[in-house]
Amino acid sequence: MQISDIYIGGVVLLLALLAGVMALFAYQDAKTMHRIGRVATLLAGCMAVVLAYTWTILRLNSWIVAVLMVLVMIVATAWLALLKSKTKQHRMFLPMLAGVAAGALVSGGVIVLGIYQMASPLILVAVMMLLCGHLLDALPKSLQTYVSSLMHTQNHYIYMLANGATLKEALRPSLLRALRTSVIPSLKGQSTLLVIAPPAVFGGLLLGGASPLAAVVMTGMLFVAMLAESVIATWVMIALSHNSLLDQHGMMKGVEAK
Amino acid sequence: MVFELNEVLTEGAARTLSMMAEEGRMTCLTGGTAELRSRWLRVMLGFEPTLTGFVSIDGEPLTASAAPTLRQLMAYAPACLTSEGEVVVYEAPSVQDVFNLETNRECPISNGILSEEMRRVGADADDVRTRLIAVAVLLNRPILLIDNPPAAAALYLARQARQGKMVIVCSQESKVLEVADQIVEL
Repeated sequence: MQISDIYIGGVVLLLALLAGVMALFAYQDAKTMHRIGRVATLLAGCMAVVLAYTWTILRLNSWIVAVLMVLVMIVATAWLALLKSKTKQHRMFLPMLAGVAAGALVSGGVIVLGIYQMASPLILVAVMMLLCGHLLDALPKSLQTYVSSLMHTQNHYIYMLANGATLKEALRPSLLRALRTSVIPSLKGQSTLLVIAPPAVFGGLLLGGASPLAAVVMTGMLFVAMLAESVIATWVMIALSHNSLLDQHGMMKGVEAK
Repeated sequence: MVFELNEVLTEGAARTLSMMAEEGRMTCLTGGTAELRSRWLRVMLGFEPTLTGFVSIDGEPLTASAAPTLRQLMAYAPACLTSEGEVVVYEAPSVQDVFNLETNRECPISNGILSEEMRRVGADADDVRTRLIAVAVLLNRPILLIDNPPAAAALYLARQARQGKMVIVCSQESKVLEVADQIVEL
């Protein structure tokens, strides 16, 4: 799909529709109108930034620039995921970064390998965008679950450790809860009836010019990659979190046992 | 075997604690609040830092790094297993989970064995503390740390001490204090 394929009259009509919706809310509900306006402005700003860097990558067509871009995306995803988790565990940045890097690079690598015939710097960045976006949804939830589980099961944790459990055994219930939470965003979108409402990425691929069969295969590949990357990222993050979350006695920092 | 606390001070305690518990004797920590008594047991298990003094077992200091090894000598029965609200959010933990741990897989356990041991404890079988004490005894470790046992379990715990175990309990119950060989006022 090229910019020349987009008819300017259609764009104008869509803007008119947006103006109509906002006018309706301006009359009935000014708060919602402002909200729509804010989101539309934010979306336009974000898309301008995305356009700038994807256009640059397309023009330069350099793998080094694409890899550097991917690294920036990984760091930004880790930082945003930590902020989004609202756990106030700033010490968790490095484990989170390692988790995002492991999950996104393994799954992204496999996807790019799967479409190596059309692999390009821009494709790499596009795949990593999808994977990082997914982690931004999954990782805050799994970190929240893990921290909350450790905080609320202190008695059971101490009981297990005191009666012979290794640290790994005592942490296992909380790890399992976090892993379970990490796959929920992948499963949630797929558990509804998809026949008439396939995932947005499927529609995106068709719009981009992919054949229906290629779009179906690619959607399936992305589903598996996202599922795997959530589990890998959560597992790596938690495996590296002991020093950040637990004190030298194995107790969670800043939490009083009762 | 000797469990020694020498001039130990922990957070929340008004004064230092010195005591020596031995095999074949039942030691009871009493006084203070229930929370403070539980905290002292956690100090003995190596979960709480000490501000001064030292804790040792047979002269081996119970440091953070040595605690996991020394805990292999201990079995612990807390006063309760679940915090308020915990079971609403998470699956209720099972008392018998400890038998699934690698280190305890050799311990013979079945519903029959556990019921029989709970009957021997002599306290109300519906009280979770009875189950926790029975599990701790069935782990067959030389040191038993029991937090706030039911009064009816006092004789059973004293019997465990006579059979050669080192029993350390935290309690305010007069029946427990009566059968203890050593009482330590906090």
